[in-house]
Amino acid sequence: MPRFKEQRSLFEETALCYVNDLYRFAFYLTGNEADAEDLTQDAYHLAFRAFHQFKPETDAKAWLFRIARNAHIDKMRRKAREPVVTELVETPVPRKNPEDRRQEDFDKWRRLTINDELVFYDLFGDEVNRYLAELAPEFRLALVLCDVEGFSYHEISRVLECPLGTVRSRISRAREHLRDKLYDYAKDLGFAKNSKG
Amino acid sequence: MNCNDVLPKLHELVDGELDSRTAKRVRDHLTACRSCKQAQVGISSLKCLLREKVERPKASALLSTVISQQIRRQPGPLSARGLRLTAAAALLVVGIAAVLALFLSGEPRLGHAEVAAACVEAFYDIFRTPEESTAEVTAWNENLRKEIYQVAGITLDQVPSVPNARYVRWERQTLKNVKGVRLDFKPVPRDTEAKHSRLDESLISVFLLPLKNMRFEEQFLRELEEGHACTRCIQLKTGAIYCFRSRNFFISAVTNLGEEVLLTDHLPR
Repeated sequence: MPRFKEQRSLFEETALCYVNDLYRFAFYLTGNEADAEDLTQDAYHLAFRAFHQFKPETDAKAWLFRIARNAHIDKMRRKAREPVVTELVETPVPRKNPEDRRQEDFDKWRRLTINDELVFYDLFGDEVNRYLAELAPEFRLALVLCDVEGFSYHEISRVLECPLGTVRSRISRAREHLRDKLYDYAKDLGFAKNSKG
Repeated sequence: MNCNDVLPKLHELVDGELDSRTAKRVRDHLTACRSCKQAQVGISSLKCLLREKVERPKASALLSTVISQQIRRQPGPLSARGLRLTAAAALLVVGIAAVLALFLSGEPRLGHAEVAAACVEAFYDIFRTPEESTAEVTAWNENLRKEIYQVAGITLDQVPSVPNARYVRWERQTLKNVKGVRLDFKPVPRDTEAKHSRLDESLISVFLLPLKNMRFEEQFLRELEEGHACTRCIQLKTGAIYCFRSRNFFISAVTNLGEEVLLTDHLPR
C-alpha cells in the first residue's frame, strides 16, 4: 500500500485531469451549475476515499462518472425528490404493426432533414437544450455521453450500470423524442416538411 | 437485409457501433434504399446538431484548486483511515474532557487552547447532526445577534426578522466601528496555530470555513438570504461558543473572555 502522500499524488494525477469532464457530466445530471459544482466536489471526495478500489487498467473517467452518478442518485433519494419524469419509459410502448411503425419512423426522420443544412443548424438553438432537459435523466445521460462526449456504448453501459441493450434502446428512444420535438418546433416556424413526400 | 432489419441498426451505424461486416451490409442496403438512407441522414444530422448545440459548461478555474485542497485535507483512503479516525477520536475526547473539566472546576477563564478544542468539538458535533430544527436555529441566531447588537448599540427595530444580504452587509459595516468587536468574514486556515493567533487579537472571532466553495462570501450571504443557515451553541462556564452552519459553510463564533474583553457583561454566563 503506497503512503498517503504517494496515494494523493497518484489520485491527483489519475483523476484531477477530468475535472472539466466530470463537471460537465454533473451539469447534465443536475441541470444547474451550482449543484454541478457541489456534485463534482462530492464525487472527487468519494472517489478519493475509494481510490484503493480503483483498478489502474480501467478507465478513470468512466469510474469517476459512475461515482458522480451514484452520488447524485443517493442525494436524490435522501432528499426524497422524484427525478424528472417524462413520458419515456423503459418498457416498450404498444406499437402499431411493424410496417406502419417503420414507415412512420422513416417519415419522421426524413421530415427532420431540412434540405438547407445551414438553416437546419441555425434553426435550433436553446431548444435543443430545453428538449434535452425534458428527457428523463437516464435517457438524457445516455444520449449526451454518446453524442456530445463521444463515449462508446460499452463505456456508457459501465457508467450507467445497465446492459448494452438498454443503452441502445435509450439512445434511440431519446433521439426519437428529440426528433419529434424539434420537428414540431421547425413545423411551427414553417421550416419542416409537412407531407410525407 | 431488408428495411425492417436495417432501421433498428441505423443508430448503431451512425455511432460506429456495428461490426465491420454488419456495417457493410447496412451500407450496401443504404445505397439501394432511399427511405433508409434518408432516415440515416436524419439520425446523423441530429447527432451533429447535439454535438454542436448542447451546452458544454466549463468548470470554474478555481474548482480544480478547491478539489485539490480538499483532497489534501482529507484523511487517506479507507484502508488507512481507521488509524486516523482513531487518533481524531482520541483528540476529540481529550478536547471534550478539557471543556468538561473546566465546567466542573469552576475555572473562571478558558485558555485559548481549550476554546479552540471546544470549537473543534462543536465543529464535529454539527457534522454529526446536520439536521437542525428551524426554530432552534432561529433562536440561537437571534440570541447571538441580540448580544452583539447590545454592544454595538444597534436597536432591534433596525433588524429585519429574516436577515437579508443587504442587512448583513450593513451590520458588518456598523460593527466594524465598534471597539472590541471584530467579525471576520475572511477564511482562516484550519490549523490550530492560526486559530490561536486569531483568538489572541479578537474579542469575538468568527471563523468562516469554506467547506466547499472558494466563492465563500457571496455564496454565504446568498445562503443567509435563503434561510439555509443553522446554528448551535455550546454553553461554557465563562462564555459560549456559537456555531453557525449553512449549506456550504461552517462558522464558529468563539467568545474569548480574557481580561481586556469588553463584552463580558453582555455575554451569557
